[in-house]
Amino acid sequence: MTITIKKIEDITEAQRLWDLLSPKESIFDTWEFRYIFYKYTRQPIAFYTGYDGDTPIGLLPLQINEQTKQLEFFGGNFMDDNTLFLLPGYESSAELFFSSLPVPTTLSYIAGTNAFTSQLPIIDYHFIAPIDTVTTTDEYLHKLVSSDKRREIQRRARKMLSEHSIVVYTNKLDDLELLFSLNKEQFGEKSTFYYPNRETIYKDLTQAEMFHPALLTIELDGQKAAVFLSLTYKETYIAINGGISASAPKDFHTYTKVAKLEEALQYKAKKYDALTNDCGWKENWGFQKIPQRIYTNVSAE
Amino acid sequence: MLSPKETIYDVWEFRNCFYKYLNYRLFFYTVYLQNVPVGLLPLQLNPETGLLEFFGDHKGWMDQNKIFTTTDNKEALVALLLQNITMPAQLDSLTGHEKIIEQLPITDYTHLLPLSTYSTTTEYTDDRLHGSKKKQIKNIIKTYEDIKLEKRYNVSTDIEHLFELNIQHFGNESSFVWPHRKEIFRDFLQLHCCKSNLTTLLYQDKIIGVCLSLQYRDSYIGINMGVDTNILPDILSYLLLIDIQNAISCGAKQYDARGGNQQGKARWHFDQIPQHSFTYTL
Repeated sequence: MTITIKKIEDITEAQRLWDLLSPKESIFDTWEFRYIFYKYTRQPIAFYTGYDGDTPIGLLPLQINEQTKQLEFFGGNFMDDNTLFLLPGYESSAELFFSSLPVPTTLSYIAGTNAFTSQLPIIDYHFIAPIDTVTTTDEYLHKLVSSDKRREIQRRARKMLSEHSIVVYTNKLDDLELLFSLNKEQFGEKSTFYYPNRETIYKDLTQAEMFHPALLTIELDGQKAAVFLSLTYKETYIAINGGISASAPKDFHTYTKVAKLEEALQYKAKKYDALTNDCGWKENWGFQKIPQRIYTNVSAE
Repeated sequence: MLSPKETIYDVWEFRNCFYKYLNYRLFFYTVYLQNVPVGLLPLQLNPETGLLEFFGDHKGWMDQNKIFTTTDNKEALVALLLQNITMPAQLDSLTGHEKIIEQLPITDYTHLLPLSTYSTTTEYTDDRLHGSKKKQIKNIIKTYEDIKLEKRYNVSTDIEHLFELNIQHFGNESSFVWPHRKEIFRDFLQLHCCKSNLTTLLYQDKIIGVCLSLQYRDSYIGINMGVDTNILPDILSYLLLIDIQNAISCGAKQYDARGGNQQGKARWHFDQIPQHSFTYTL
């Protein structure tokens, strides 16, 4: 077979190819999720598409970041699990797509789904916990967390419940603005909500019904002290982002993680997706680590 | 014919070191296309568990087990082979890029350290270790280099000290109390498919650490160690650093610290490659 690679720049054709070739396994494989991020910047599309004769067989979906003038994955830098979509039987052509890219190009957060991408250097991990075999948070902690860590989590959560008044609310959509402000309070200048359009994108996410958006608000001693946004796609609960009051005690942070896990179990999710970056807790909480990789055609010299 | 021979675990001679002592009944599931073999799932029946397991495995020792296929239609061939297992099976440390494998539960990780960008272990520790772990390792290196331990390489009889020290350290949990394990490791020193390296550390003429590694293609695999921590408590960490330096010195592109002991190995910030498990019950 002879594979030819063409760069598609038309958004309508790009969407048609995406729908044709994406396996739609994770939320990052869906056009709808990435488009919410794309539509506010409308960076030029650069979908590298492989054809066997006239038949599309693979897609490396990229866009040109107009600020950096570099290629990046469609939807921009929020995206994890970026994938070269290939039809079965064409796995061995993966390298051809990457070798078609201009120099210099660096693409990050690539999922290793074929022999070529699986040998790229690892830069981070995507953290996912299987929760299909448990029905309660205690059961989860017993099954997936080491005994020392489990006792510590349970002690901290119990302490919060015994020493404070805690009320949990679900789907108070008005609290989205509070999520933004608590996130800025928690992370300061590093908050994602200082990025252009990010608050608007999150407002859109709460309207994206196909992803079952849900807000979890936790009141601590009469004050709303934490808000979290989750989405659910194909029985995977995705903890998108949140914010916790800077004045909340350390044990409250632990309690909020338990509360989110409980929410995922209430939704009968089979997986809990905590996205990338360990943040000092995900591996200890028994999340499995899926490598995220980087491709660069820039010489190290 | 079908093995990609990418890792040492893909090599018949290596797996045969275990198999020849076990002699378990073989179940090599093979797919043929027009009389040509195009896929292979190499299994054996463990008479103790009554379960099919990967060829050459013994108590979960084998790492990076693969289903071998030709380059085309890998997804379909892997699916076909797994669907055709007709007996109870427990296939652990299964690795592969196919979706059907990636969707299986992750039960372990292989720990790999890419070495291409390092010319010394210091470059590795500066790059990958941070905070208290980095400080701890730097202290160990300084302390142990001041002691000036004697090193010797490839004295084949030192493997007996590796066994002895390992049993002394782990007691009944040492794998060297199991039948045939010592013979298997002695056989590793005679392999033609790879180069074996024995590193021995002596303190005041007493052997306090022995490490066995194998070099296969661009990979340097840390197979096992025996250490005496009574005199120098951090000798295991120091011996691992020496082994990594050996790997760099002989031009290996990656150090393979294998699977298992995830908590202990994670502290070294090696890359972690998921290993999956496939279970089939009647």
